[in-house]
Amino acid sequence: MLFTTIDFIVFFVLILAAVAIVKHRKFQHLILLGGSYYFFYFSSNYLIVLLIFSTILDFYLAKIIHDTKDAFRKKLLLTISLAGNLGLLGFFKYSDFAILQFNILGNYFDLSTEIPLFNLVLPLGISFYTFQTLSYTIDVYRGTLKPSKTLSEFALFVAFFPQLVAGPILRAKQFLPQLREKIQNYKTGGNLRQIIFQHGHLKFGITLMVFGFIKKMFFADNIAPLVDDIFFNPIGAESFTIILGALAFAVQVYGDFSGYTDIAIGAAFILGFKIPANFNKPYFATSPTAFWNKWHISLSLWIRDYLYLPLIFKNRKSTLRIFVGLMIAFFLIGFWHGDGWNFIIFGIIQGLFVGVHTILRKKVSFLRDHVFFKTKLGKIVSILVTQYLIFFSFLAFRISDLEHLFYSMQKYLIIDFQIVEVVSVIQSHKISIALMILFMIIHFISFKKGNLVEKFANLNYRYWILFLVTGILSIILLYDGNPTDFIYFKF
Amino acid sequence: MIKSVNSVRKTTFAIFIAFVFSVSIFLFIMSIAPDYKYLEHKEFFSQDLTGEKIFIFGSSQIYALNPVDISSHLLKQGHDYTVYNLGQGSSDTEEQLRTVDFVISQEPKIVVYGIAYQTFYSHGRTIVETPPESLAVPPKLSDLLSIISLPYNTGLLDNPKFATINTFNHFYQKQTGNFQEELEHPYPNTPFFVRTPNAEIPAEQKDLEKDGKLANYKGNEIYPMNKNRTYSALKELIHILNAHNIEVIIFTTPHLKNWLEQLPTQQKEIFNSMLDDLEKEFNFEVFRLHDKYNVMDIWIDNDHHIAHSEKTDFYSEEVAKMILTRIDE
Repeated sequence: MLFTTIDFIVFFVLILAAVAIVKHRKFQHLILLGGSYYFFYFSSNYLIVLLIFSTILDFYLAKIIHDTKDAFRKKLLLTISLAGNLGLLGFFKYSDFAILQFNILGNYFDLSTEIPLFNLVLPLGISFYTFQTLSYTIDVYRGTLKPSKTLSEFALFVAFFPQLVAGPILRAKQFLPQLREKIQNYKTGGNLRQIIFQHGHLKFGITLMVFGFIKKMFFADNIAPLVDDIFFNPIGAESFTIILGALAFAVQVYGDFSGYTDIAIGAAFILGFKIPANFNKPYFATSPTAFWNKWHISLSLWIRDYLYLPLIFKNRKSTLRIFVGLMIAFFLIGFWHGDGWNFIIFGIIQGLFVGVHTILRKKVSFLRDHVFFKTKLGKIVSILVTQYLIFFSFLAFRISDLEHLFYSMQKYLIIDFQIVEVVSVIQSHKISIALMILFMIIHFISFKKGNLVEKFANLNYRYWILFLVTGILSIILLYDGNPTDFIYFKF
Repeated sequence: MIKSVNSVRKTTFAIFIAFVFSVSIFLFIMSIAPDYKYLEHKEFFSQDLTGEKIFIFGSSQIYALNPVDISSHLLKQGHDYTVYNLGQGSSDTEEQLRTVDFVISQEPKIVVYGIAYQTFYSHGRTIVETPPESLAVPPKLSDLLSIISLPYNTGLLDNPKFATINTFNHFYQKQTGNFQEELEHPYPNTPFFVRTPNAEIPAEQKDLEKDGKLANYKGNEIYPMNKNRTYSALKELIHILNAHNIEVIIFTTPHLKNWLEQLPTQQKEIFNSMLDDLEKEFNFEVFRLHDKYNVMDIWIDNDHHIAHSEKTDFYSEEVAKMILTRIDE
């Protein structure tokens, strides 16, 4: 079920009503769990079986791992969990890609037969919930987390509908304790039910959701036609057209993904759950490393904790090991996004950026400590250079055809200073360009003035209503009658 | 605690007020935003079009079809029809769906659709998930809003963006003086096409090619059948017309060779699968002209060839032949 549909609004209101009516904590959880399964089944039909399989597998394996004293047995059980989860992810997401590469190789060596493709449907959210269940089992294995007491609580952690299909990737230690929190009634000293609607939560959650809807439906969906037109076939395009396309895509993908995250966090917050932020003004990052601390934070942290740190664990001082660790981590971040060479290229480019930056900081102290980078101008230059590089890597994120991709990359880096085409592109996409500029202005204000959502949520009711009316109107007046998929649903 | 509950009620009430205000303002704007294309169609179809009629629909790719020539070809074979070329620049099948009732009210014998690759450009618009039949599904927004009757009940609520941009463009054209009330048409019976003198001169080869590739190549992605909104709208149109005993003919409009060669293979496959699917579902032949004249010296750009010229008379003749084939069947 898409957030940007009337279906979701009706569904969410019904869930809120049901949770408000039911007083008992356990029943509230069951309503949320049932609702989450309905939410998933709505879009994915029988593929819900995979979600349930993953849930049951990890719940029981983690329990046994926790109860087992034998180290070898623990390791074996963890391996089963990893194989089960990654096996499913690999089969559904990467099997056709692997077959395709095998067939290409076969053609190269003149093998006469080709393996037919499975043409599998990618289960919605599989990359996200697989990482959630994996982190749970690994944490229990490491002894940093106690297993969930009940299957229903664990199932709710895996399937919690606001963040089920596109994150943020939750950790069990962030979510499970929230299910057991109770609010003390200050008058009677007794415990209230766990989910209770609070005025602050409701107002902030709604404000955040409206921000998310605006980012997705007003900005991202209306900038998409410009991006599509430029990158459908960029061969022959001028440098400035490619740069404009990369910039537009950066705004689109940020609006799309952070819009989804805002709606998810807002919806969860109204229900009384805190989901960690996934973005922190990434386009003001002053280095590639800082960018990954601000962009898709839950994925970066996941890769850091469960892959990168274990990789360099034995020798954190070795520059080579750090570089190789970073390259592997970013290669997998790229591959996590999709089964195409372009995503692998995206990961490798990011790995190189972050790797080189890390080594420079480590080895060339002159650069790290130079006074220029502490000045305002130095920071502006750092931001511009970083974003120019990040947007360069976004070309690989957007363009799947390798001929198109390499052409665009070449044009992006070696500027031809032609402006005939870009003028005509701008003229035929005035609305998209205007929205891009507006988005950048708002993003800049948000960077300078701090948390805009909080500021709007704290407005008095008269102005808050005005904000809501403006938000809703701007969305529906530029709504083309059919909701658009979120970009990250493909992953 | 009581204070908090009251505040929750206050916040909920504020959300409700905001929602009511937004919807009211939105409906007000929609009710005063004239839908120019729709009104043009309404005006045309409100005429008393006598005799047996054939309507041809499509986008700018059917500009060069001369309805008078087609009528003459048919008459030579003993079939007296008045042919109308109702093509319109940038028209798409979703838009045509909005005026299908007007078409039906005129009881044409045959409706011809000229479709191109461009017909199915998705521009990011897609058909999203279809929930399993076993589920209770909330009604669509358009269903909910269909109970509201606007002064021009034009289906603007199905696509508010279209109305907003259309109104804005119309206002802009009036302000900048680019707006002409009376427009010349290329041929008789082409009410929605405007005469463009540029359409009479073929482009030079150097303008069409650059380093062996098409100059100024433009295109957009065609989503697969199950995700393609304009394809779905085309099928719906055919179903509706067939249900009213109106014959439907589909043909693909011609394209330049170079452009076809540059089109990604996957996109060609999707387009061809759509044509095959149409033939299978409706049990008729889709007449394929998209690669028939691709090397002739008639092209203005990748999918438009010259009009008002003897060089392209064959196009009208070809469409007349299709109609005759269907009549003979």
